[in-house]
Amino acid sequence: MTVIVEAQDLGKHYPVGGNLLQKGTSLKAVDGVNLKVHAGETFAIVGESGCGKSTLARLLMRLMLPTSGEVIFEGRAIAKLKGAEVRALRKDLQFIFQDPFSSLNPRMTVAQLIAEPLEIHRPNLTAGERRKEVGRLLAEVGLRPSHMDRYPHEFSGGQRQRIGIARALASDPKVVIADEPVSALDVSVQAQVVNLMGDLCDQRGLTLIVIAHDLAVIRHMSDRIAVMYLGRVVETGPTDEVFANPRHPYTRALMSAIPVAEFGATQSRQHLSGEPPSPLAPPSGCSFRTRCPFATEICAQMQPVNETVAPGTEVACHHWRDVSSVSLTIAASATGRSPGAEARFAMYRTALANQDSP
Amino acid sequence: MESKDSPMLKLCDMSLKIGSQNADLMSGVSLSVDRGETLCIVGESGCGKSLTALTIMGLLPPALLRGVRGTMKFDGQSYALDDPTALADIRGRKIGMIFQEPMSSLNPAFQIGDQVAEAWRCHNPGDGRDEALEMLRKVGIPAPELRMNDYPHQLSGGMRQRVMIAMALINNPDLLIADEPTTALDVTIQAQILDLISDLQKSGDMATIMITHDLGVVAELATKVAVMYAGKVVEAGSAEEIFSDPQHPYTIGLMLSLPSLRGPKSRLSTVAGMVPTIETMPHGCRFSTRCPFAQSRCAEVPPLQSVCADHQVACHFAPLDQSLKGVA
Ligand SMILES: Nc1ncnc2c1ncn2[C@@H]1O[C@H](COP(=O)(O)OP(=O)(O)OP(=O)(O)O)[C@@H](O)[C@H]1O
Ligand SMILES: Nc1ncnc2c1ncn2[C@@H]1O[C@H](COP(=O)(O)OP(=O)(O)OP(=O)(O)O)[C@@H](O)[C@H]1O
Ligand code: SF4
Ligand code: SF4
Ligand SMILES: [Mg+2]
Ligand SMILES: [Mg+2]
Repeated sequence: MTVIVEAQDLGKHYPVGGNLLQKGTSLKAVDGVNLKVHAGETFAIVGESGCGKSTLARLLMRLMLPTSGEVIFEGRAIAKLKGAEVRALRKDLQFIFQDPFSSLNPRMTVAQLIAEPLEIHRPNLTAGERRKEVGRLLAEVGLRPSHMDRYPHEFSGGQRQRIGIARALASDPKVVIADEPVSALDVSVQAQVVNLMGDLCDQRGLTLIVIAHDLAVIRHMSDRIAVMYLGRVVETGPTDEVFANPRHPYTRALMSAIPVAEFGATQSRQHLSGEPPSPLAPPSGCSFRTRCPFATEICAQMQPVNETVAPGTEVACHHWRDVSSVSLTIAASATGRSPGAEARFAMYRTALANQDSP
Repeated sequence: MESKDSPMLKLCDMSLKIGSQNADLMSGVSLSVDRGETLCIVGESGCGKSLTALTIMGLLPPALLRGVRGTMKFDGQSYALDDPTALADIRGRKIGMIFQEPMSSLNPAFQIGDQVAEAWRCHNPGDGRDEALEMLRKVGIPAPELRMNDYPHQLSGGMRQRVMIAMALINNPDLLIADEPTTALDVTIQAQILDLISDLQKSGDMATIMITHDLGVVAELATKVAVMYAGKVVEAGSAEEIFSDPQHPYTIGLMLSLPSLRGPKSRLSTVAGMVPTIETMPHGCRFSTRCPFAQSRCAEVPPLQSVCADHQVACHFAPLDQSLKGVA
């Protein structure tokens, strides 16, 4: 498998609280992150609010430069690129934003919104070719080409997110980074957009880096996953492996906190006590130790390093062996559905399939 | 299943029409919830969940108030929905509300202890400091005697949400209405809030209405569920009935569109298309433009009918597996 994007010991420290006379402190939003994203895969980044996911995404895209470490794209350090090379990078790396309501300029028509990246990245298209390409992109994301001359406010949330996706695809990128692409959408619309992104990855061989806080969505979409806590990656591995055998105490707390949409589902919830510590004054040693039920003395003294615990799976915890030996049920079976309900679900699926292929 | 006495809150046949629009924005919504129960209202964005909550609180904007019809019975007393003055007295005292946007509902210029105490002072003598401290402790704010002096921006999202809950609960309301109280929070903080609400529900004799579009939250908290679509209740019943024996095609579509946490990952089913606008609202079943089972009879409005003691559905063909055998 080819590595397409790689983070090497990546760090981003924001200066905070300083002024002209006085030096402030720095906030380590991303701290010593190493990861490799393979070409063609969907790679997920999860973690609590404020743990540094969006900052990491911006670093990977070169929307900001790191304080330390490197981002390597197709074998080249992107911080060193200049001029035309940066433009080429923009073409290959595209972004989908969380908020379909504010990320589109309200004064531009859909055609203009999608033509904009085409003009920049494929300047030799004629006006006519460009319009045709806009129509093709709209159709690809499931919108009617006849809607081209409408404005964003005339579309629903899910449709606006599709417009955002079409815009990201316009430059024919190799990698798309989506920061919370479905969290502003409700479940039925969310399912449409999740399906669409899956289809696009399959058809275009896209590499997708996706950030989301809905772990069921992540499990559904991604091949591999990185779990972050306070600026660091604490566990990474194939999604199925991490969901089946979460080994870091934080990953386990995260998984057991997911509410399951079934009546009477029993969760052995592992409580995360307390608030996340301030990133301005992270605890010594392991930054999770203030909330970790497994913490011992060594956790305050030494920062745990990544250890390979299974093929392709790494965990940063001094006690991962002890932790993994404690059983954890995620989404245990509930009462289930009546046979009548199962029959109705099957009918619904069949009816939908018939609608899709008349 | 209603107790012999009438329930804490009964909303009867609420409708809402704006100006001369050709269809009702909300149409014939009836709900009830009693002490110890949690009613969850679910449905797609824009289906009228928040408007239902605002109506009960008497907080509809004047432009909408003109078009509202229906009655409400709260704690044995009747209220007309288009006359919010009568509701002003019970709002905040007997009915507490957690609003959809916690960030904009707290005043950035005042310390949180003050804001919680103010909610007490509105309805009680005394400065409310002690009561506020006690309530902040109850909702799990660590070191509340110090935190009372913090301003909203000094708190995390989860803590701000708990301050909102403290304000809603400080007067020991008979009814708590929570509009999407966990949507903006990540799962670990969400879990803390859900535990808090479920503890309150178990300990107190409060009735709760919880609005959300997260079915995971519903499964965890609800004793009763109302599914809304385009301004109507399309299915209602006990939580167990709704989850184990869902009947309405929209409810089924909603449940099928959720990705699962276990088992194989198959392509997600969806509810195809979009909610019609008020101008294009069909006259019969409002779901008919997206329903995979729609037929000519669906041009008539399906009434909300009982399918068993604790379960009502508004679909001509419920239960589908029997009525549509061999059709679909
Ligand atoms: N421009 C900035 N200046 C100072 N601090 C910042 C800046 N941007 C982000 N931070 C801080 O860096 C940390 C990481 O922020 P980031 O937005 O990357 O988190 P996140 O994981 O994306 O969170 P969320 O899930 O809430 O979107 C947070 O503590 C945040 O407050
Ligand atoms: N002040 C208003 N004037 C006119 N229409 C309104 C007003 N407030 C809400 N609406 C409309 O009423 C419908 C119901 O809105 P409501 O806020 O109750 O939806 P909701 O179910 O709470 O959605 P969400 O899940 O997005 O919060 C929507 O179509 C909305 O556009
Ligand atoms: S290193 Fe120690 S504190 Fe950190 S997660 Fe592991 S057991 Fe917990
Ligand atoms: S009444 Fe008709 S359109 Fe409405 S939900 Fe039932 S089958 Fe579908
Ligand atoms: Mg973010
Ligand atoms: Mg709402």
